[in-house]
Amino acid sequence: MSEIPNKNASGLDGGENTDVCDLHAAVLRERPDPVEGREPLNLWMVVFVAALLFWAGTYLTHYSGGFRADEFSERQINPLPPPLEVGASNDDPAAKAAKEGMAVFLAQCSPCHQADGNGVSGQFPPLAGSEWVLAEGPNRIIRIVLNGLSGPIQVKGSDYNAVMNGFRDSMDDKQIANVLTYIRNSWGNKAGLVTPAEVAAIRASTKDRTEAWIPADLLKLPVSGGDAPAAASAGAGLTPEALKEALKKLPPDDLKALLQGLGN
Amino acid sequence: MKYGPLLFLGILFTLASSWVGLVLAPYKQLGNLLPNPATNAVGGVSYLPEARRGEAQQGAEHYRSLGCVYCHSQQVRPAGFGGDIDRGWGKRRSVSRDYVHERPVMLGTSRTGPDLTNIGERQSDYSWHYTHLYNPQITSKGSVMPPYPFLFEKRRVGLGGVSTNALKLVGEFSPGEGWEVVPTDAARQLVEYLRSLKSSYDLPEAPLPKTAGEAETATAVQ
Amino acid sequence: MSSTTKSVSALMPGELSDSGQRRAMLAEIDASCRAPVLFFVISGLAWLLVGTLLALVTSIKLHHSGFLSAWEFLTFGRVRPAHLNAVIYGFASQTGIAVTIWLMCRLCRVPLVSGGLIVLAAIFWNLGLTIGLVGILAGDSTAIEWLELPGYSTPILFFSYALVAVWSIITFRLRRESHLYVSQWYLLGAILWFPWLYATAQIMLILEPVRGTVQAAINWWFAHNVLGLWFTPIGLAAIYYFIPKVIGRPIHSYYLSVLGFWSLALFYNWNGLHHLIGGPMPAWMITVSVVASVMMLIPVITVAINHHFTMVGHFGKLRYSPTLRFVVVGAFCYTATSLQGVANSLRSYSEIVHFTHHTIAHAHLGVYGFFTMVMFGSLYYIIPRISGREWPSLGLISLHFWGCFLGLVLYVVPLSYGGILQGLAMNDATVPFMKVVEGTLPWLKLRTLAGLLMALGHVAFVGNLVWLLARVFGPYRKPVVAILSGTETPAVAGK
Repeated sequence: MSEIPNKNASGLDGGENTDVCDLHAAVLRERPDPVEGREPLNLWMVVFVAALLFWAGTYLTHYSGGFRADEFSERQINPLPPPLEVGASNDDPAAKAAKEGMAVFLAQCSPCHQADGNGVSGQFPPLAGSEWVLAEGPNRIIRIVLNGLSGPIQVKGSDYNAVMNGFRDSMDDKQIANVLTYIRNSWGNKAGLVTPAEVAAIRASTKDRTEAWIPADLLKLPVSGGDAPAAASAGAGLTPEALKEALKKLPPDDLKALLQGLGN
Repeated sequence: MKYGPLLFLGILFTLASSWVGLVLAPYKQLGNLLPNPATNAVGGVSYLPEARRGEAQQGAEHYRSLGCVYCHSQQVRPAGFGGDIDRGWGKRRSVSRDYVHERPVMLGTSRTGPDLTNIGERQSDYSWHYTHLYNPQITSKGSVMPPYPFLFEKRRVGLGGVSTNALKLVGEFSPGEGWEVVPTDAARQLVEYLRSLKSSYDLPEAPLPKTAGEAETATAVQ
Repeated sequence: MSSTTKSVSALMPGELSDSGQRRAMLAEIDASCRAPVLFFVISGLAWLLVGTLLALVTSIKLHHSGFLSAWEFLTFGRVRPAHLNAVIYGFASQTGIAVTIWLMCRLCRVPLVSGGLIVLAAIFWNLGLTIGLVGILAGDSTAIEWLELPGYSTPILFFSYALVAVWSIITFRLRRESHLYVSQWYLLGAILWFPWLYATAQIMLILEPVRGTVQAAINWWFAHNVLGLWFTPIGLAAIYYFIPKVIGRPIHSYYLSVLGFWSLALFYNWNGLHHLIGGPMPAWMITVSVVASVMMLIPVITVAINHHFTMVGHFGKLRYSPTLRFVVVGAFCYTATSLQGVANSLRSYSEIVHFTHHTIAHAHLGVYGFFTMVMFGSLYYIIPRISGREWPSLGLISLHFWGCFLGLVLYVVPLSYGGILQGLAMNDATVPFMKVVEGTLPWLKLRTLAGLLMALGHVAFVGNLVWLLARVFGPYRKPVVAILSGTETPAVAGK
């Protein structure tokens, strides 16, 4: 061993230990390097591989959308979204609308007004028990949802002065109607349902408006009537007599706007 | 196995197969996608998706730098697959063409927070975004999103009174009498970016769903 | 000159007349590996501590959002990628390279040549990584998952890697054993696959970014292949070496090894796009990745059978050998994480767990439960041999094992379950999003607790290593060889 060059004379232990067996204890107790056994491949393994290859082939054939760059659906998941008018067991139109409106509310409104409708004190007004929501008709609140709100407003005795953005472009009439129906019938609120036709009429009559409403201006408008459509298309249960009374109550400007809208 | 060259070739060929299939093929199919021309509301032509304007593009850089992608996704899954569309996160699923302007594409793989593909449609109010970024607890109590106070400047109210863009903070979040919190340029750019996130337009490969008996809502972006 | 006085390293393996000379050759190889391998090990473990600290900060931030939130460089969106890159490129890759170097030398029966090249590579690797991580905290992250290191730091890493790769090819060419053992196939694969992955990703995503969602395709082709073609082969190579080595039996079946290697090589690299199920990619790309992911059952089950039937009857040795303990836990976690991965790739399951914490739990079962555990086990075997000293403290070894093992279980099981609940709630549009978030908090808090246990284990390990290497703690101590007591001591002259 003496002629074998020992490059590692000092070693990590500074040459303190000269017992060869100690120094090489690790390599001395080592087992021989590993080798591979010759156990043959199990037949079941081959069957398994074949089965997987078969599955792979079928899956690739059916779910590749023709390997097209513009086909994003592989048609394995639900092929169509469930139709919107899913048959609900209860026929109460308000309950059905409220249910559909809840999803819209949670997505669009709850970030500010909170899921429990109580808003954030000082920042966003509550909807639960709000006199604006519970008003007899939805004239003002439809306008608020369409174009937003900006300016001082008092709700349930507290003052707020935040800005609300409008949803004219991001929600359609049905969604606005459903979400308002939901708001008017949740958290202890009990008020009538809002129909898509009512929303459509107000959308049409305010179609050139881009700026948010000032609450003081809204308070000048009546809560019902005004832009409400004729009884035949509303389907909201207005009798002809009630309609006449409502029309009589209209300010002349609004009556003119209604007649113009009907004329279009 | 004894043969080094055989091993080497096999190692090469196996990775080459997926390089061709998952790198080259997508590049060939999608690498030259262009925005789709569509008639817009005023009768002209818009190219959808629209390129991001000015400050919104700088905002995208802040979004990348702050790592927003680690909690927020920007992809809407198809109807009936997961609850994305039911939750109102989009009107239709996202497709490749929606991302032609993105660099980097920040699809995200985690929804610690909600998906943001169409946040500009759901929430376009500046002050909500500023308040939320300054301290998410103000607008969304219980949120696990961290506050970003370094995107804002807390300073003394000047002689001219409270600044017009100062955040309206009350209660425990208020900076105190005589102080105001204003957004920095970075905050403004980031909010412009968030407000620009809208993708509810028609594309040939992904038209918006139409509901029966209803007028079509405007499909062109403003 | 008679053969007895010739240097042992000049003898061909076939010329070694007895076990004594064979062992001397191994000892010579070990000694030649000392500086380069230790350099990579020490830097790797330093990054382990950094990465663990960043992990704890990240985890706490998820349930206490105000924690350390006043400073921009510590915001969640920066600390989280810093943690990822520190553990992936700092700890896992460097320890992986260290183990690769030692295994290559041992299996090729060649002492380490050009050690200086390796040391240089390690220096550059650490330099590039440090620059990159500071860059991430400063806001230059690329926001491309698993590739966040800014473009000014990655060429340094790539240069360093090139040195390691060149060294590996040279060593492989110099090999003096004609039969290639299964570990060598995996190691060669890893060494050749990684630069191709990294170069493609850097060029097509950072240097000259491609348009739109092609970025997403390349991103996830790269990221998944870092797991499947860089870490997995190194981990499997180590398991294939250490299990039969420590218990002294051959691997169950050569034919299973062949099937396992080639099916992994063929299928694993097609998996990447299962990260984009439901996403804005053409259907065929997702389908192809789903199919490849399910086909992964072949290599995973093959390897599991191979390892299990090698171990069967010898599980008692787990009590004595820390190497075996960690490596066997790692092997088990490899099977578990791969089966979980196959499930995650099925569209109906992905619908629930995509975007949830379930994915994070899965990632940690793979990178921590499989790869890190196997690396720990490998280091318990390698360090005494290259340093010539034994592990000083059995207590610290136990603390290391139980801290990491219990931490792993406490991490993966609750968070996987919590992730499923999170996904189910998220898919129900009537559940407000805030409620979904609230539901995840208990699981996230448990995860922080698990992280503390893991941190304890890591500190114990690094402490033990420092004790082993440093001479400041006192004179040379007789080794505590309770390890492997209870098994028969191999006679020096026997096999």
